[in-house]
Amino acid sequence: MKMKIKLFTLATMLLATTMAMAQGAQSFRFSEVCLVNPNDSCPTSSYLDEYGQQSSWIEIENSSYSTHDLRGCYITNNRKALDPNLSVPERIEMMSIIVSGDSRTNLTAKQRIVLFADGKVNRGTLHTNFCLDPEGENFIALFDGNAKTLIDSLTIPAGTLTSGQSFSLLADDEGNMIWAVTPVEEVTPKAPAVGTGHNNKVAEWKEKDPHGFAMAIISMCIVLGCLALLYVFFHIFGWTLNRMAKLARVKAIRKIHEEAERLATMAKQGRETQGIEYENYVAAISLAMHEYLGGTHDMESGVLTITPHTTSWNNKEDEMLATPLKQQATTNLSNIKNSAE
Amino acid sequence: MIMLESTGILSFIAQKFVDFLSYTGFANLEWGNLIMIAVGAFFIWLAIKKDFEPLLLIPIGLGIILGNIPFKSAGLEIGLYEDNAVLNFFYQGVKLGWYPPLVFLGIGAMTDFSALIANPKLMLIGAAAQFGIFGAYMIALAIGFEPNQAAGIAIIGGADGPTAIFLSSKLAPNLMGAIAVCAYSYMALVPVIQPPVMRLLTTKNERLIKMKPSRSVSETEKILFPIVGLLITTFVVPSGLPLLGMLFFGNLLKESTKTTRLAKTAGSALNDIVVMLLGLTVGCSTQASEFLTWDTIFIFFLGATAFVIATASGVCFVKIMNLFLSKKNKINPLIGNAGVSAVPMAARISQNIGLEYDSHNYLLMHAMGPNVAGVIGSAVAAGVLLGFLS
Repeated sequence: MKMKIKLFTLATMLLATTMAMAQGAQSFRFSEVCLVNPNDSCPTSSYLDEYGQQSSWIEIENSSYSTHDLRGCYITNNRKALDPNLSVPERIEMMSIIVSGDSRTNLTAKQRIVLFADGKVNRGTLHTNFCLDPEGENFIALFDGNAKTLIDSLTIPAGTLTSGQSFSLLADDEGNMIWAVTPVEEVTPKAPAVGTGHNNKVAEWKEKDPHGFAMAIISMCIVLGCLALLYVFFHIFGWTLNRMAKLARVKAIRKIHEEAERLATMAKQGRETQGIEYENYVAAISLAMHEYLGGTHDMESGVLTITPHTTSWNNKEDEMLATPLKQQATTNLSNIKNSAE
Repeated sequence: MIMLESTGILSFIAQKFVDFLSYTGFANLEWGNLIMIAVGAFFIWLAIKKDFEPLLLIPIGLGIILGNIPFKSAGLEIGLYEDNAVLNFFYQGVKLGWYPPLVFLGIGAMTDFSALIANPKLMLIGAAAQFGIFGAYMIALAIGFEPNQAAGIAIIGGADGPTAIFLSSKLAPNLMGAIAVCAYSYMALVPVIQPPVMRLLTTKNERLIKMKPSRSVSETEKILFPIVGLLITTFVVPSGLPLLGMLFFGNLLKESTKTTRLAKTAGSALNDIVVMLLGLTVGCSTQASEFLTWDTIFIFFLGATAFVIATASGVCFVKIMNLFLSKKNKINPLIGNAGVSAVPMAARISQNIGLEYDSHNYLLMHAMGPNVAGVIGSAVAAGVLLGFLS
């Protein structure tokens, strides 16, 4: 049994670890993609690579609140990589790996990394082996280290962006994440899009609730509600326990009464019947004997059937003489008289 | 030649001596440092002579002195805010917010929730007293603080030092030193602040109300309380998880009766270590340049206001509750002040004032109910504010 518990615990922990690992990779997502025509005569992007060159770039965000490393993941612009029938080597061939050994790929909570889609992997970790088409449709996908598990993918329809504009993941008025075109002046490589983040929350409260009434009402309701829930639970639980305790007390008193009765009977009748009333005692034994001796007791139904049975021991006829006693006495008396005469 | 050499050595010695002097506290002293050192000394005096929260005010007082010893900024790695400094290492517990949950672990291991379980309606008083936080929040906004700063300041009204440090370290780190010192100072001043408010808001007849004795609480209820409490509060306010989780964990260690050793450590040695480091580093963080500002004066004003509002709302809430309770179940409004979570000072004040008016009216155990509910309430309130503003 102990071994089973140990195995179960081990299996649960292993499962949890596996899920945690998967969660790590799944935390990455594309957050902004900027299409730049490298052949533009005047620079359309102010974000340049280590060589001072402009090119299209892809921003990936660690959307979680813990640190995760992007190393070993694969990025591709080849839609064929979505085919589940492809073997791993075939997949890897059409992908660009994010190599290990570069601390920049280790992303802390909400941190972003920019990869240059310039087809020049020899320029470093942050460069992919493919280019994005500034005029046509672009597809990009991010795969986990096994080259099979899709983490995120994005399609930018042809003509959506002009050179220098970016496609950004933004929160709409209802808080849903949507992709939207960002003008050149609002492109934010390695940073959250304009109008998102912590300051926005504070600013919203400041703007919508300058006197703090809403905050006070909402928060007090939550605090009161929370403690009221606790109150209700422990009120009901306490009441139930109280009720159960009362029932237990009644049961105990009843038991004491029964015991007292038994002892009183024993005191009256002695210990032979173990405190059971004598009549009940005899009846119980009689029934048991009756059953044991193969009486008519119906075992299956549990119904005690008593068949009428006539015996002659109390037959009135048997108690009487053939000749009535008075007549016989009279006869005897007359006989005596006659003999005397 | 020898003369020249000796002159060279002498000038070298003189130069180094002058250098040394430039490193001393005297050479770098500012008037602000002197004021803060005086404040630190005053705290120590309060703790030793007046017996005001000595376990907290002595580490904080000495911390204030320590943090205001002037020194030359020359990369010596000795200051609280300097990387690799020992004090900076200690300060991480405050900065990253892991001291307060450890203190809550100790509080949980030391707290007996029986009074609350026996009479669960007292929980509502603990919730009502949290209005002090939100009242102060509104006043702070009116003064001109940003919502996140206002929330960090307002939590002083919860009368819970660790919660105040936890929330202010997340929402208003620049005000944390002032908020922490203010919170602990007012906690020490609870016997001064609360009684006038309690007397003002209650009639003599109300003060004489005798509450019926609490029922006894079963072991099952005591064990169930931290588990159910944790589930309910953290499901409603997950942002309060660090504080509430540790509070109920500590209490479960105590009530399970199977981990007495752990509960004892959490409630004594571990708690003492954390309180020492917390007090010291919080005191250190009150450096004159950061502390001696108008903001600090406002914070102290808001802290006092928050305490008054919290006390008043607790007492008034009991009076409202009494309107709906039968005569034999009435609650003495003097326990309303205990809804703030200054455990057990606030409950002790209820007891003392109750005894002033009726020498046979012992309110301590009744007041402990709202008092411990206040601990939960202030942690929930901190979680709500953190969730909305972080």
